[in-house]
Amino acid sequence: MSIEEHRDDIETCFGTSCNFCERNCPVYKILRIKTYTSKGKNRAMLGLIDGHYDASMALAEVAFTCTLCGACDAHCALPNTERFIELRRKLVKEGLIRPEYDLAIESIKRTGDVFGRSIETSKIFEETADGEVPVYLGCQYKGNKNEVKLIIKVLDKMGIKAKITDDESCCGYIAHVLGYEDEMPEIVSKFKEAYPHDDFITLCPSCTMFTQEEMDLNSTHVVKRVHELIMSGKVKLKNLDMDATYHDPCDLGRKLGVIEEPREILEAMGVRVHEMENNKEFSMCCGAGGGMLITDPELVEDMSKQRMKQAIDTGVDVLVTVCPTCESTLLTGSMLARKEYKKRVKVMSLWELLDEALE
Amino acid sequence: MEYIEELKAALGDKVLTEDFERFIFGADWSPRTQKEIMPPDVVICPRSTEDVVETVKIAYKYGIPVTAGGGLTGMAGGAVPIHGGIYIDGACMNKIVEVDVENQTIRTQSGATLQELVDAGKSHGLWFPILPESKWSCTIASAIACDNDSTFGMKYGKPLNQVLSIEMVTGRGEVIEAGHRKARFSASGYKLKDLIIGSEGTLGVITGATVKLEPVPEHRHVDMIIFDSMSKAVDYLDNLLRMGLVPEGAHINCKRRLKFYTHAYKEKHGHDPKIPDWAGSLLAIIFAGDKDVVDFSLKKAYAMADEMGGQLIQEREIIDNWWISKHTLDFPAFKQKWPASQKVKKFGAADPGIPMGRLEEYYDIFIETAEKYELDILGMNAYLEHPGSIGFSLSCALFVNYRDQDEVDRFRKYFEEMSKRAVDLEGTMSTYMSDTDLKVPYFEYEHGAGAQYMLEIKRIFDPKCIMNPGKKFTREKVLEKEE
Repeated sequence: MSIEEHRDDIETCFGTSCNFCERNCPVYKILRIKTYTSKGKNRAMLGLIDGHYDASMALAEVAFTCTLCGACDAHCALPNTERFIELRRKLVKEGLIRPEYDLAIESIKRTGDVFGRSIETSKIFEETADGEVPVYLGCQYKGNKNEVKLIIKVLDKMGIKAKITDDESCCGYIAHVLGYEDEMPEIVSKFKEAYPHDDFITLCPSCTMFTQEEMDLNSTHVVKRVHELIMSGKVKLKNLDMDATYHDPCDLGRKLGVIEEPREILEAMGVRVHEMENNKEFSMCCGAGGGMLITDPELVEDMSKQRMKQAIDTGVDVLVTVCPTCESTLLTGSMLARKEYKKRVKVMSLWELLDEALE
Repeated sequence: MEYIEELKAALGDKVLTEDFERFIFGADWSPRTQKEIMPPDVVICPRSTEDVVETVKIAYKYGIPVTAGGGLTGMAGGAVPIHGGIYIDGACMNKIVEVDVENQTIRTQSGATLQELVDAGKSHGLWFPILPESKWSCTIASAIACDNDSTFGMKYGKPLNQVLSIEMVTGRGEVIEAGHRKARFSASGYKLKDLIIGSEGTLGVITGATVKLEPVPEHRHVDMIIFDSMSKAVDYLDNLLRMGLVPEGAHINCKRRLKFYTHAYKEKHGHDPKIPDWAGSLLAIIFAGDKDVVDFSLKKAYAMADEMGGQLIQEREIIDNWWISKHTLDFPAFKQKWPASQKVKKFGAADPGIPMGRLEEYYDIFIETAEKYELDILGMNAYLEHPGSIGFSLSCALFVNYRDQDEVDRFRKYFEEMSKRAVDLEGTMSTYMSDTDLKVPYFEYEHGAGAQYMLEIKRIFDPKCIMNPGKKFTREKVLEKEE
């Protein structure tokens, strides 16, 4: 598909021009320049389609300064983020990219890992050698030994014997959102070849979203599986008697609709959930989506601080999330927000709490 | 261009010159075809009043047009830079300078959205009540520049009633503060503040404002009452006022108009809300305050409705749909009112004001004029926008195919005729969009000899006619004297 094929929607945005997309756009809230909004990008595409100008590096800077979090889609009848990936594809094809993107894609093609690492996961997680349920780590979790060990432990306590293998290759999510269309067949087939499971658990929301929505595979995010077990009454949890807020990862919440499950898990552990101003389908991105960590880490920091300010405003001391990227990004945001607002909100993964709550 | 280089030297990366960046600012929400997108030559993203002063001084030196905009949700092209030049994206300046809880005021930079003013007052139990549907994007400067509407106008009025003071950079590049600080009114001097309200940026660029905040009401109740005519709804409101009841808001919808607000209802039920055939109007009415006061008001209001043959809508879902669509904007994702109605055609409206006794007559003119120009009728809404009395701000709305130049042109003829007919009925051409370039050819139809005095005022503030030129007066006309 080309951006020209999105013409009807782009024209509808021109006709509607409601600007609702501005409301919760994490980038616009920081930069406050309309070119970065969904409407701004749609309007820029309209001029591009109509030949008012050609694509340029300046346009690419705007197109890649987007978390693809879907906050604009939540306020709109049009699927905007799909179109923004299409725009990125066009820009990549025209070579209007930063060298860092090429390096990331090369790393995936060379090593199967977006960071270019060769990690023997079976040795690190040797306790899963006799596991039964394939668990796909994804690039982010692969290097996060302690957290993955914690998840394995929690799953074990719940009766799920995780199986982690060396056969993982990047699912291709990052290549997809960066618009490397031509590279996708190679990356995806490498993934499928390396990881030929029909039914597996995923830990990362982005890997889950990509394998489900773009590859049509039967992957299940681990939170869904854990939720089922808790709701069936098969697992007993201690009452932690605490207050926290929950940050919805964009791919898990807004895109896959896994919104109530993590909240119900928290409530089952006696955690009272205090919602931030932006929550559930209208949640606000931590800042790291859409390849932004490669594009503009400083802006990511500003966005993570912005999100942590919302956590501070709830009055609780703990923020819980369930995405490796959100977690690390919000940890930075928490430190920055602490400096500015003189209040610390601790960022925790759901796994830490589950480990504590499980006998 | 030399002036752009000078702007870059003065303002650095606050100056946007890429083609695509300029293109984005070439249109607002008004019905226009893509061919009518009018990009400025350069866009400025100011962060302070000083940035605006720098910009205007350079513009003044070179005689370059300066158009300032906010959310670009205007419905008649008020912030479209029709003469090119410099566009100032006022939304870039959105700092809240001070919330004065004791005096219930807020001082803000000009680019804060109306919702951001509400958010700023929230933790203090205060809110800013000038809230049109565009509140998430419409900035306070834009609201002032066209003296726009509010859902809560019957109690709080318009910007004219809520703004205490305005900071503006004039067409000479000088900063003035017009108004009376935190005092609610003043008998000193000329009312420059009131002159700026509705001036569409033709006198200068608004850079800051002090506005009143109001206590957040403890309780609010919205109802809808059916009457057999629009004039009956007016009589009803008049009776409420005579009784001493002042609703927080009141909106008289014609039957067609209601459908626009109940799209989600139709999606859910597969049909439009069932409204009796005899219905001539649907009055949405809002009461707010202490619960017991609201309950008492409702009791009296219901009794009066009954006495006048009005029928209270019992199906709460209809009312809730209207309210969500009108105010909370809290519609489920993908279920808002736009998709079905604005995929091909968009909302386009004339915004006249007429005296309270002429509503029925003007409604007939609306239907007749829309049919004459073969335009799809969306419906009429009479917003009550005068505090404690009956004052209409009309939205006479159509669906306009913005992909069809002929239809857009017919819409503009309709717009002109509706404007003039309102003046004929002892009313006004505009109540919330202001004049823009559309009403320039017939500006004197309403203002007569007064237009010449307005022209002289324009020349005092903006001798080189660089401030949003082409709005209210043609640029040539303003510069005639100089030549």
